[in-house]
Amino acid sequence: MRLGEYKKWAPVVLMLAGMMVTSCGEDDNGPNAGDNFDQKGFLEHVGSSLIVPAYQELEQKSGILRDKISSFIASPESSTLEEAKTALFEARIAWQYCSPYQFGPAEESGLVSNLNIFPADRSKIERNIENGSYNLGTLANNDAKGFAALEYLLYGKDVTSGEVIQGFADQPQRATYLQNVAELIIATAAEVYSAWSPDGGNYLGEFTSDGALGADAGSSLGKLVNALNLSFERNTRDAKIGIPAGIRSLGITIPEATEAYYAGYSLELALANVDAYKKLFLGQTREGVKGLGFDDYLKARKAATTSGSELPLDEAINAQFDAVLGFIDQIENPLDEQISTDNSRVQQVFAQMQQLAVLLKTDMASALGVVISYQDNDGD
Amino acid sequence: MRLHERFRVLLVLGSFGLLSGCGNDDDAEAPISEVPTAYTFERNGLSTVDYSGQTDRLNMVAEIKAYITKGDKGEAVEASVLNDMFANTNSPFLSAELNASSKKLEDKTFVSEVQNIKELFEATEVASADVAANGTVAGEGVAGRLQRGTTDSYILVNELGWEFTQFVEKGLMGSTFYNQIFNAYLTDAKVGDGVDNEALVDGKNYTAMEHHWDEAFGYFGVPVDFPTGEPVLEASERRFWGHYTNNMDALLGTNALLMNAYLKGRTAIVNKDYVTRDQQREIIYAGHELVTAAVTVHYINQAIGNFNDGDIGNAFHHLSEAYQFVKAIQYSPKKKLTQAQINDILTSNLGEGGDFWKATVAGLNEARNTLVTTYQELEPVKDQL
Repeated sequence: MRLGEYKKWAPVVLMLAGMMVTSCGEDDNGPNAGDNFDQKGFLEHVGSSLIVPAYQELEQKSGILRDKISSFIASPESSTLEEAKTALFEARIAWQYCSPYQFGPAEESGLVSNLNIFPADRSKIERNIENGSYNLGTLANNDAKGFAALEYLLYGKDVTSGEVIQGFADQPQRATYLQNVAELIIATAAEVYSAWSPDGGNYLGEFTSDGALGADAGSSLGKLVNALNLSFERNTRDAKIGIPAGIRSLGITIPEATEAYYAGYSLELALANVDAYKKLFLGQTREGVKGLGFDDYLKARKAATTSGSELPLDEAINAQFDAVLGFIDQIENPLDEQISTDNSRVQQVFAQMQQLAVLLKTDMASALGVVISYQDNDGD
Repeated sequence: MRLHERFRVLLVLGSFGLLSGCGNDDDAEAPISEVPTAYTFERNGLSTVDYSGQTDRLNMVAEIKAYITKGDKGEAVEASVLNDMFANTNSPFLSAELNASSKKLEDKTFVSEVQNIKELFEATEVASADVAANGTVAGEGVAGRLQRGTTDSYILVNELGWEFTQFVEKGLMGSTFYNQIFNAYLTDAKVGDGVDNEALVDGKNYTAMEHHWDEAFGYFGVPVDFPTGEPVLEASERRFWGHYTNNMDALLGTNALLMNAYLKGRTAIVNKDYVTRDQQREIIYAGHELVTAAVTVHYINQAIGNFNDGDIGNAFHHLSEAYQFVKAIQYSPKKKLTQAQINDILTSNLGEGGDFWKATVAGLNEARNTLVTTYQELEPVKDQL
């Protein structure tokens, strides 16, 4: 713009600037102003009342899991085995509430890869135990560690508890493997919690800092929205439902790819996981205490759906969460048998999840001005 | 050659001090007062730019890639075809124009890499034949195919998880294209003060120095109006270094950085302003290197994400890209990253002994930190790359 042009437009620019000052003067929320939403308050609530407690819980439950496994190894009997199994289930539920937050410290520590890659590769686990030499950090061992590996070792395939216990007694290196996997879980969980904690790396401080406000790719909102979408699509919709049901695996059903194939509680894990996303959306703590959530953010933006639904976007998304949870409730445990006997009901869950994914990824992201920056493939 | 004679005369006049330079439209030696916005340079109304030989080689790599991709699709690939393409013998290309071209890739490829490329061709043949016959799935120490995520797209890898397509294509982008820019055309031997910038090359409308600069630009591989076209790159132009430069542009402003340097340097050569030419050379070396480092961080980020998805196919695809991009940096004699750092990334960070099956998130983070620390521009955008 040449100077002459600038002069010509200057009064208009000044006038517009003045209007902006008066229109949002009472409640200025920094870079994402233009609505009355307190973005910083939202990030502080989500960070300190949802994310940090979720990682704290994961660390705590993973610690108990490690201890219970040690007790089982020290005295392998059915009571200690049952306690280890319970501890495993609780740690896995705790994980479901961390699943939407795979950015920053979690990504740098490779949290998912150390905790929740499934299905586990049975033969690889057995080979590692047999060889006695393995590095659980490698990509090759991604599917030979984590909760799924512990589940396989504690439940076994087509064997009784007595045989499981005997297996550990017969094979000392089996016990070592079990402990090594549990140690890696607690070490990684502790690392991520410490990185988030204000007493540790204080990523929480970075997450809620003024510099991280706004909706750019590097902003906290941008990271959170991208991470929750990515994780919901890949770890929830595809991994828990789509792949075992054959929808994301070229039409071939893979019942053994369900999250808890040996323990048979895949549906509980799926329910907890969807609940975690719903609570994040509503800004609710695990106990159900409501604070600022995405729903409030969308209300402030007066966001509507792109599909032309009657409901405002926040209500449409909330209703779709309930639809997903309702359809999961219709399925019988264990999930792998449901897939084998009547896969159509599992496919319905996928369809409902797909609708939710569209609402979260397309409608919500664009209403908040967030660009979804991840891609399925690079295309090259 | 009447035209040619006329240039000689003008050159002599010009060398007396550009006295008649300004304001005379007929004077071919007139300095260019303003750097042009597109890569078009003329003398007496005729273009002085020609890099058709470079364009031929870009097209050759494109055909090699297209052929080797058959292996990813489960078909058998023949090493003899790839070797013929590499040496442009036995009319191996689909394009008759390329078969007729006097150019080939092999003699422009970094000497120590030629053998590695040929070995990759041989290994591709063996692995692709095995997959075509037996549908072999890759595993630790086993070459074969891997599915990328939940898509119906596959990659063919060797026993270390190296994707042949990426190793060959990106490998040649480094060992041929960068090698030629960095170690041939932008060196003193090709555009330094000792190179003829007075006489026109026999039968041509350019000086030797002008032409060498243009040949470097040819390996950059962008359209002459880069980056002002709409779109910046047509679909057919979205390849090689131009494509990756454009991909990094939103975060790093790499399009203007590199294009302006090529334009300014070329203008300076016409104007015989060798101080400016040398400044632009430095910017080009650093600019290409920055793009390459940024792309490497991008693919490392992708690979870390794939780790967390348990998606080995995509992880290896992205590690293959990262491996060859960081390796491409080694061809720059002015690189900021040391050879020892590059070796560390290749033989340790991306998996012990370069074995992707042995890669760890910790190792990938280490490689990323090395790059981000070396190229400070990447620090603020490292998570967005």
